[in-house]
Amino acid sequence: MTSEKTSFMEKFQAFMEKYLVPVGMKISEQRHLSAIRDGMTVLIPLTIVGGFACLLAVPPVPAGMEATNIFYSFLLAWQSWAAANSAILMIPYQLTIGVISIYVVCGVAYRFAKNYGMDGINNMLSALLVYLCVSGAVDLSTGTIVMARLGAGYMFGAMVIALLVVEINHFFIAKKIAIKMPASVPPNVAAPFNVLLSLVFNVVFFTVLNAVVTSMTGAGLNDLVYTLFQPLMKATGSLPSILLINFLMTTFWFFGIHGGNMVSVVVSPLTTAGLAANMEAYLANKPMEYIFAGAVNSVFGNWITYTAMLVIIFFFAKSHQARSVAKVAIVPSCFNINEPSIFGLPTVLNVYTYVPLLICSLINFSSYYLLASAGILGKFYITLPFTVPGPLAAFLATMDWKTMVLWFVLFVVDMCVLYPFITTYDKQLQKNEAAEGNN
Amino acid sequence: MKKIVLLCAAGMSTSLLVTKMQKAADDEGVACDINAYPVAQAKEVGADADIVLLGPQVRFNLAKIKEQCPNCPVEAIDMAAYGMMDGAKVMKRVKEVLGI
Repeated sequence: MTSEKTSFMEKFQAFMEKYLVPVGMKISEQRHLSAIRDGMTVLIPLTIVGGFACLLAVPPVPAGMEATNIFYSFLLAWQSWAAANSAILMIPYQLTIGVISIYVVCGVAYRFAKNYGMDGINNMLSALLVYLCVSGAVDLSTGTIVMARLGAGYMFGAMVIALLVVEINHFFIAKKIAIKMPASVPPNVAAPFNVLLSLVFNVVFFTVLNAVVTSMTGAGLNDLVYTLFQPLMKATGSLPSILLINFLMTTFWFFGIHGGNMVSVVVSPLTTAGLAANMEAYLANKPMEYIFAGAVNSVFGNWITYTAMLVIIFFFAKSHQARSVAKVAIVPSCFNINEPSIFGLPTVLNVYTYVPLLICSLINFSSYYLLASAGILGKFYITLPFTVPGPLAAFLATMDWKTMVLWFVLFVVDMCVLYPFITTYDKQLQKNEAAEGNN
Repeated sequence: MKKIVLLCAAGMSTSLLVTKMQKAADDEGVACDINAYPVAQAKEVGADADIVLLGPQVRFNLAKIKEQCPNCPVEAIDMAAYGMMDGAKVMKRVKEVLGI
């Protein structure tokens, strides 16, 4: 029995190495995309701080609410406290998400330079300078910087400029275009001169390009990129496209590969931009536009299903393997860490779990999407650490208690979908265990 | 003192295994320092490691990590052992590889 198991694992690994590993490698190592993904990951703590500051400053109080119970009076007291102190409370928000493009250009440029094995700080500063030059945010006549022009909408401009500036710096280094210093000059003195030439070129090139674009379109480079990315963001945020993304994620996990990591090169820039745009809308008292924002497709994706699966096992499964995995897996699963189930049950190459995971991801996300687009449920506008338990994350990220209700409804629905599959799988495990016992 | 580095996507799920491995190591009297990190930090944290282990969900990074940590053995953790968070089994493998 044991030898059969190893040979299955060996076959599986050989299969992965031949077909899936190269695909995974290519996606995760594409240097521009991975720089964007890693650069955006650096921003998560900043968006968490900004989000909580925003929440503190603008509590979710519906207009016309009266202090009819203790919770409502608490909210109203909070609201008047926040109104009195909003100038202070809003500073962390304004300096994080309010000017998020500054951090995007730094994060992406740094990571991209590191991917090329180049100096991180020098490239980051060059990209920041170029970005500020073309952002249109600087008003020389009053000596001020317009924060709105460094906000969420201009994130894509920041990504593009960070990549281009580093790409140009890399070209200069590869072609050895630099000011040559005599060998007697100490390296620390010579280092800044090595980047000087490419920095001058970058600043001149992008300033001229920005002037040309402005004269042709009436708005700068940053606005042009924004306009170009808008349809992409709309298309990726549509229901069929998100369902496809979730299908791919579940499928990668089916092969034992980190699905979230695979799709995040495409997904995380869009969900971060959507989240920041939603928060801007929330503060401006306008309707939020983006459903595909923040952690929405994880919270209303398979995270619910994995936990539901373990509950089904606790109640109905009898096999030693399923029960002992569930014991190890249940606590981490409550905090959205599902690797013990994935590799222990396993759900890897397991059709009994793959099919219900797919069905549930379809039901879960479609339910939320349709209810949110009908305006019944709130949209995601706050970032949380990914380990915040599902129902709490749904509530805190939207500040709408109804999303928490939907979470529990889906939890029960997922259990119903899972029940026949898991009990069948469990019977098979019992049979195997009995056969092993007889040998 | 052996330095063992575990890598996964965010360093979260491997950190579960760290406690189990540390316990197994302590029980067997093997002196080692075990820590979990995100795979993106491989280069920094792998520099002075005695062995680097990858969570199976990020094992497609194996070739890249081998390049980034050329001075020590790098390998993926067995899926079944990982799923059961079987610290003793992973520790046994570490001892085999390091010859202790």
